[in-house]
Amino acid sequence: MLKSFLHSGTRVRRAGRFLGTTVLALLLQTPSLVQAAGAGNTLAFKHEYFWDRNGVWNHTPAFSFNWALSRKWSFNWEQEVDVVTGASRMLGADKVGPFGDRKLDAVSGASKVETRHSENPGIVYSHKGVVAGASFYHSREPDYFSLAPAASLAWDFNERNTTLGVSWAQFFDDYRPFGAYSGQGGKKRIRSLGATLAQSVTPLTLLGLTGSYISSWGYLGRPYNPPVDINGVIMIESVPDRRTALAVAGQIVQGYHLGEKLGSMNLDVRRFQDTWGIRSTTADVKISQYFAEGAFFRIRGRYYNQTGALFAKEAYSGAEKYHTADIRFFPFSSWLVGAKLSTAFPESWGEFMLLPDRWDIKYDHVIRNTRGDPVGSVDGRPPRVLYQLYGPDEYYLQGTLMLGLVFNL
Amino acid sequence: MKIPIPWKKSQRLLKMALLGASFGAGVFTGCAMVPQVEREYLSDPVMLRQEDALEGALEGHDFPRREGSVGGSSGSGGGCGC
Repeated sequence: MLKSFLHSGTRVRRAGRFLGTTVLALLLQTPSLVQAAGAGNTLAFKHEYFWDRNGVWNHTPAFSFNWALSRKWSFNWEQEVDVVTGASRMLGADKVGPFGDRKLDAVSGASKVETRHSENPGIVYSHKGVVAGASFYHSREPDYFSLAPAASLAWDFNERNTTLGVSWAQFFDDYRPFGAYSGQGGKKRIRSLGATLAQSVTPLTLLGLTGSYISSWGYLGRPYNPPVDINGVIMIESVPDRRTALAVAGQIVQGYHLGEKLGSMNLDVRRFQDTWGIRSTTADVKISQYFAEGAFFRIRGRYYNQTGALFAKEAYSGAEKYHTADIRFFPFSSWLVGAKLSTAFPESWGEFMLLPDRWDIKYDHVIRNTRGDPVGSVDGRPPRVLYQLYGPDEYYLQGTLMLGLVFNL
Repeated sequence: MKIPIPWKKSQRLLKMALLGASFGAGVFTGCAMVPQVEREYLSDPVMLRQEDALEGALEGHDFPRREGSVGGSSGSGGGCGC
């Protein structure tokens, strides 16, 4: 019984030699790097399609490549390409001018259709319960450039029932806005440190505790959606140039058997607080279940709530030092529901290297309790401007569809 | 103008986290052992919070940049595709 039960996951099992590998993949923020330690030679493709109620859509093709160089060393490459539109809201005229007005938004000066690419090569060493990894992230889009070295280390002890992991990353970013905002922007630095402690309690129970420290400085704004003052006059965005954040998260993974099939409930609760006054709580639950050999489904529910930054207002008097209309710095709550299906192709396909071994499909739907901007003035005051281009009686919605293929090489 | 900073609360949060980690380390190392042969399930994909690394990387971009949840994940650098 046990053998048949284990076999249900054989074709998808990648990690597992070391608890450290598994735990870090579970808990740290760079799972690709750590999972590479437990993976064989694999090539995975994903295509993500995103849409939201503001008319934004985004296509992101991506792939990752894991190559086992030896029993101890492995190499990983992760590649993404974004093609996004509506990142700047369509505030100006559309389809006019020499470029059909597709290049720059007439009001904000931001690009309407934009591409971004990112690369993230990494190398992982794993031996006798120690997993060490390093990676070098690079991304570029017309107005943004980023470089980020990162490293992580984890080791098992207590007969490999306990894992302690630490991680470090430093971003060297440069933001050069276009159009009317070309004078703004600048360099941004982000340093993040993380520590994780995890413990296997029973053969089906894993507990984890993660702490993160994130420090940012430099140009931390995003000027394309400017705030307005009480007279409706557009202002230049201004936010503090330093920000420090702490986050603590607790995780519990509890497996169970439904007949002979393995399933699990995975709960993650995270508290976040920063020096701008934003505090947030995230509760994320995933329930996964095998229903056939090598095939499982997952359902997910996530609740997120944040307070706003201390300086964020819907309209400013003009006397304030800081002003922003960036929705990320305003209070809101959101709910996510999602589902995923992942199954193996027929085993005989594995004999042919060019045919995929697995496929998956996932959809997440998000509702956020921010309403659209009113069209006209309210009580004689100018309209609130938070760049939410849907009705004032409607909530923000977004959907993300992801399709994937995995080749075991 | 300097904005008021609720930093004392953050310091308290950090102290609580360190205390929790210390307590956890003490408790965890004293926990009953799970033999290696019985830990097979713990590395199964259905037991992993993020069994798909590439999916995790894409999600890490989506939450802070699309939904706007700055505190929901650590991803805050690297541009936004916008």
